[in-house]
Amino acid sequence: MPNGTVIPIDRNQHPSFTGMPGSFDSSPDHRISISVDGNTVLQPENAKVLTPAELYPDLDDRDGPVIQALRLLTDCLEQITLAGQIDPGVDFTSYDERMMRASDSLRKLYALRDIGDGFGASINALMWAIRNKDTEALSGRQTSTMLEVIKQLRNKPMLHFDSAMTRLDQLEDSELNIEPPFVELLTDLDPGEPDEL
Amino acid sequence: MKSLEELALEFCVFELRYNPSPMIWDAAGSIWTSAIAANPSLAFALAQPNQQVFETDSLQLTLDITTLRVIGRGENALAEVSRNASLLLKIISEKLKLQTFTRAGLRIIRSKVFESSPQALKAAAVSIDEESPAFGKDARKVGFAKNTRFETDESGLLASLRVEEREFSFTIPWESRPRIGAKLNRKEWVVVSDLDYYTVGKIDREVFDVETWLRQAVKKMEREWSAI
Repeated sequence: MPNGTVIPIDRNQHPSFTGMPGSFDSSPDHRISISVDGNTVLQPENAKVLTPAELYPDLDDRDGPVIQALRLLTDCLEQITLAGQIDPGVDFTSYDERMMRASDSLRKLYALRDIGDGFGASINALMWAIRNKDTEALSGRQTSTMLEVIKQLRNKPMLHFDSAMTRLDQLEDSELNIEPPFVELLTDLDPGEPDEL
Repeated sequence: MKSLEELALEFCVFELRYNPSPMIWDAAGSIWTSAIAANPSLAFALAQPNQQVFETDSLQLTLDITTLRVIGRGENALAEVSRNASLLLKIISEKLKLQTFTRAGLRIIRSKVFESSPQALKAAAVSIDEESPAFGKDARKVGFAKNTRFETDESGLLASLRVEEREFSFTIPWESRPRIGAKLNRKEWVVVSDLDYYTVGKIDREVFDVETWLRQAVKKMEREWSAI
């Protein structure tokens, strides 16, 4: 069979790795056989793509940062959803309390930013988007954009930095300021005039 | 022998499959340079266009056009496999431009060695007194295997308990035979726990954290083993 030929192999007959002990050979270096028969096993195109919940169904917070992040993202999503259901003009205290809880989850998520560059950049943007609103409430469009970004992050926590940039653009398009205030000061600074600082 | 702790960790294998990636022909050197920078003890073992192998004394890393495989041996195998798989996943997803994986698998083999088959069978709680329907009273039971495989739409697990005979046979080079002899033979009986957990669906790179997934796999294995 020439290399590269795709033949359908029953997955059940195809363990994670073949040639396990039981019959050690006496080759000089005792290297384990690692051949996978030279064939390529392809899944059908309609095989489902696993969600985080399907990939990690049995884990809890003790099982690492990704699982903690998924729980905190769910908490954050819930708080912003609840805040979006409150009219801040009628009950600002309840609205603010929900947003403070969401901010608290985001702070904890920021501590998990080692999960990936894309994750860190997205959480950072969400944190500053809320903080820069100060005492002003999020508009309906801003709330739904934030919820969308959090949902996408929960579905793909290890997202690539370039994918995160698209999410950040979405936030900025809804007129959220996602950068800390001093960044503007730094970017406006003329390189020839350090005294301006 | 129901407890996995009674068995010594022999091999741990993490395998990640993806659709054929021709980028391997461009990126192999860059991938292994990054891997060696992170783990300087890696030594070159094999390099071909479609497959490269690097090793340490307790670790073997293989990358080919459709598969990444990390094999560890010894009591720290799982931790070492976890650390190196995580490192290589980051490198290859970037350099091979992989967005989707078709299958992830973790296989863990634990074993305990005995000097005779009755000892091994007894340790595995297998009756040695029952009579063979085919051979009658004269036949001795010398091996045993029990396998179960369960699958969902998301993942699957093959659990195997075996009592098997292993024979090592080494032929000694002609010039050394006066001192050592012509052959070295060793026979042993081993109780083996062989657990293979794998995904059935595809995996998006942006969801996949190897270390978390390995912890998940180990939990599933321990639960399945308790029922075998």
